[in-house]
Amino acid sequence: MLTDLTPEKDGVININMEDEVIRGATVAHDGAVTWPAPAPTLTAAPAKPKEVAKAPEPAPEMSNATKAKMTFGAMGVALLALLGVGSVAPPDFMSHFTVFVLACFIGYQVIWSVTASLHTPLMSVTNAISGIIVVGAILQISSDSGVVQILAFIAILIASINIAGGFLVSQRMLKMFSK
Amino acid sequence: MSMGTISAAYIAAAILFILSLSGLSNQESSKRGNWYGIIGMALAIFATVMNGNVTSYGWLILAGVIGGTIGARLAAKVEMTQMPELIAILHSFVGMAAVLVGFASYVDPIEGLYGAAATIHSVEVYLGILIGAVTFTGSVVAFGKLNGKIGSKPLMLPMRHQLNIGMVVLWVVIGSWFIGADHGDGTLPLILMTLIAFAFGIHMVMAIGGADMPVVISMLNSYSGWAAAATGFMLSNDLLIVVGALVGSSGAILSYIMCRAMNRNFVSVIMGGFGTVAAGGDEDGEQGEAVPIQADEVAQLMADAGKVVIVPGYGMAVANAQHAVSDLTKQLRAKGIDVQFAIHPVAGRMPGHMNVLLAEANVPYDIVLEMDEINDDLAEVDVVVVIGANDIVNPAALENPNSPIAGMPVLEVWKAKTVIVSKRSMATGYAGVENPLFFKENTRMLFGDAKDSVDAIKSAL
Repeated sequence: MLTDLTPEKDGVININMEDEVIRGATVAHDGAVTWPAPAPTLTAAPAKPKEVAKAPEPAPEMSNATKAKMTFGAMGVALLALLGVGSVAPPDFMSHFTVFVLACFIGYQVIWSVTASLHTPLMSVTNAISGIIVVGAILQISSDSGVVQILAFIAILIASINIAGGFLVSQRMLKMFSK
Repeated sequence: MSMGTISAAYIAAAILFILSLSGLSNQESSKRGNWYGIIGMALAIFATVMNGNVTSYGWLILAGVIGGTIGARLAAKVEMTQMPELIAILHSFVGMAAVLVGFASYVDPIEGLYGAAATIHSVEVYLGILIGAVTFTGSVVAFGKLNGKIGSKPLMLPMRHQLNIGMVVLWVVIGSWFIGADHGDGTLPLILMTLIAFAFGIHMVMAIGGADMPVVISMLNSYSGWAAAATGFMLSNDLLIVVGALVGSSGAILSYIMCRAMNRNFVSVIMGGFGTVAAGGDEDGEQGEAVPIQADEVAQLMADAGKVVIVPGYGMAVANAQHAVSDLTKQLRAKGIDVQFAIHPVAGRMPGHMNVLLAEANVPYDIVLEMDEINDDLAEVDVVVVIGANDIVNPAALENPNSPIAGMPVLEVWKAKTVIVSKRSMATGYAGVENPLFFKENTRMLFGDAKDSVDAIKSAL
């Protein structure tokens, strides 16, 4: 894509709106919002029916083919959106964004494996670990600004309630589950 | 500690958090999982405190000790029936913390940001505070609704959809003002946005009825995660991003499961107003008559039964009948009768609420089954006892396409030989829908307080 962006290979960005990839990845050009881009015309026939056959839960009201089309459509949109973000965002942001997207996928996999009978402890554990926001406040409390110190102090205080309360109540609940 | 060591500690903490969640896949590994979480948190906090830039140890420890003590007291004192309230208020704390950290981060800016990086940072601050603020007031209102301080009826303001859209538009307008403003001039738009977000959170949850509480709690769980993730972006802290993403997807999946269990669309739940539509008034005439039954007759039925299934609902929690139910279960099992529990995903006020209540009352978890595990076997059951549940056993969901709850998966208890419904009165459930189950031939109504009824059955046995 970078090759497409700088056809002269001289580092000068040439936004060629006729180019499918560039057009799809461009969110705004010359002050005009050009997103969403027209759907790209596929040159190669996609070879994907195999994956569809493996899909575990076929929704009865939707044929597999329609579903597959929708899935790939959604994937395409997501990919274009990603490219769009990537084309404007600095590399630093993109590395955090990578972490974020991968963590969402891990979360998705892990949470589906949680048994329904432990959904309440799941909520209290997630409550406790979202107290990790305390890390942000800890870094702020040594600031020179008094306002920041006060804000950080309160933030540490309430995040600590979450951490202690969340883990202890989870422990209490989990101990109750016995055969 | 060097930056490298701190990063390593953060990676370890992130892995421990993932392990702590995956530990919840079954009861045996769950306690160990919780310890992974505690160790991960300790590690992350320790590494952060050891960061050379942290100097105000006194204030830090004071805040941590006060917060920790309050948290420990809450955790030790809370009744299992009040668990949804505790969870809701803990969500609000995450939201508030995100708001505070966001403002602090704005006042105390990172040096050397310019161009796209500066713009992105402003967007991160803005979004972090916004999500945090919505989570905060939304959770506070959910807390109020759960403990009865605020009525559970949905609040229906005129033009409420337009109101919501208006607030979203204002966010965008104020957002561009904020991003365009020089540093220091951005405080006003930031505060304005926060106030609108507070109002938005209140309005959003006020408009959602009591029956949808499991979805609301799951959704706020998700929001609290996204708030943490946005704060992570704001502070360029990958650990916060990972945890936020984990919690965010957890809440999102729970919301999805809850919506599926009610056959409701997530957007329509958020739009609110369920249960206010005059429901099913067209088929009153041919309801037939409910047949009452006495406790000693129920005891006789149970004593003669080979297999008994108990279906608990929120009414059991309200009447605090779970210990009596547990004793009854023990008595029946001692007589060699097979007893199982059937749990509907939305029974109670939050996901998994019934399981915790039964576990607290010492009901062994291996006889507590989910709806999907037990629905096909209900036809072979001699006696089903429904305690304080209504909509989740309503055959209208499957039989009457005009019913407001049509299509919702329900426990098909009417297939059993006899169904006993323990209920205080003939009143409808949250959804305000008549329940034809009460008028089925094999249904007997056991009127009265759930706890008294179960106690009476016990003594008659």
